[in-house]
Amino acid sequence: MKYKLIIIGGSAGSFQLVTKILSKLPAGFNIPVVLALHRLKHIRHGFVEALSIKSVLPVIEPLDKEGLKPGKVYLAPANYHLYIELAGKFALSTEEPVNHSRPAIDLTFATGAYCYKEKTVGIILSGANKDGAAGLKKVKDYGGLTIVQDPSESQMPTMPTAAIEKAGQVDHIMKVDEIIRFLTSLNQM
Amino acid sequence: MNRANKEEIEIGISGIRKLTEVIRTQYDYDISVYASTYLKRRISGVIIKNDFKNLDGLIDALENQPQFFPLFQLQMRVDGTEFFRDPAFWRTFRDDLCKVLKNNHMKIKIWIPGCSTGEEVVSTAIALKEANAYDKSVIIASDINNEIIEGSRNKIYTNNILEISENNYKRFREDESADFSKYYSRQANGFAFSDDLYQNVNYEVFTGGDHKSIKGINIIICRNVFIYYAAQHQERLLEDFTGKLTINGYLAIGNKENITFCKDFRKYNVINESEKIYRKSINE
Repeated sequence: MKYKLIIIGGSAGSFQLVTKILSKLPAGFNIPVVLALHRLKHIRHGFVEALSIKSVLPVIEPLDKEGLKPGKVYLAPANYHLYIELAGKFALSTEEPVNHSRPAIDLTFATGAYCYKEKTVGIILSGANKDGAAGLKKVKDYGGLTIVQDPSESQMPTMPTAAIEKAGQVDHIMKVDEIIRFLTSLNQM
Repeated sequence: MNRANKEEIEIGISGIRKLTEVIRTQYDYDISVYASTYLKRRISGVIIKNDFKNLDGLIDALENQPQFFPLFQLQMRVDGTEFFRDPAFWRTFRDDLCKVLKNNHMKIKIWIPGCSTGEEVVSTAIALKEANAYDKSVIIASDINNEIIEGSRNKIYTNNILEISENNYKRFREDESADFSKYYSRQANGFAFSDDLYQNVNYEVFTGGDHKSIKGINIIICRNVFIYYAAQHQERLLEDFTGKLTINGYLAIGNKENITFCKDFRKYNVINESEKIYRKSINE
């Protein structure tokens, strides 16, 4: 199997997209999916529940040093950065916000790419700031696969546009339905 | 400061090993206890902040300028994030824990290890005041060196954490009109808290092991400190805490931290799962 990690980053306008993607990923999907989504700092509860409604796979907020497992969807918890460490574990951090964000998409992408190298898939969806662009570039630099939502389809095109500019030559610019087809095809490999 | 926006400097495993060795031999201090991503990020931050060319520049400074080491430790630590982070935790502290502690003890001994920039110290002091428990409490705030502690004492905080803190305070009080500003005064470059909040705070340098005044603790507030350590060291940290808590003493950690895999965890009962509050139930 080619890929071992899928990271999805998004902000404003990405909630429905993520919900739609999760509703199409089949039970036992064989690659861990990590969601780095901007969210309100002070609201700890409710997001996982909202994402779980349509998701076939269990959605959880990982605890510090929890191991990544296929068949699960991991959501970066409120007010923490979510790092991926060697040995396939998460680590949390309350270090200063990056791009005014905690969780910062850039950090989850950069640490994931460092650990999983060419086995990483990075996907940037709709959002109103530029977080995620530098992270997606890291995925590219380490030989991973880079996918950006087609800005013409994004409710907030700033984030996908920034990612396309920064990463240079992303592998795919796709509409969400195409992203879903691509992800489900990975499961059959 | 022209490098303030510079992206993180990549630091390889061999570089980390070299740095670890230098610090171990020269300063008898072990940075291998830290979680790896955190360690790399902080080291990169120190290099950028001091305008070193690269990791070798930092290693060179540590080898040749011993006076730089405490500053290095200071720059490695994580700033506190806000006052009353996780208001629900502070409500539980004020309403449940303070009540029990007030009833059971003449003097309540609270320890805040890794106090860093002091946000948890101030939040604790305010919550104690509002629970009418401040006068019978002593707060021990500790960190690993004097430079960090000096930075925490009567600190002037920058305004960028004020808004979130005021909102946290309102949530803590469950009152939209609750006024955080009664506790602080505006300063030229930020805001500072009144002296009476610090009156019962004792600052101590603590690097592990036995300590003359850190013992017989009734509650340890140590939220979002375990996350910065590798798993083996988390184990040791918990053992250290267990030894310093009284029986029925409480331990509070961050809401996404996990110590359940530690051997010593069996000595604790879960008091509040969502706020991660535990009570020590046995000594051995």
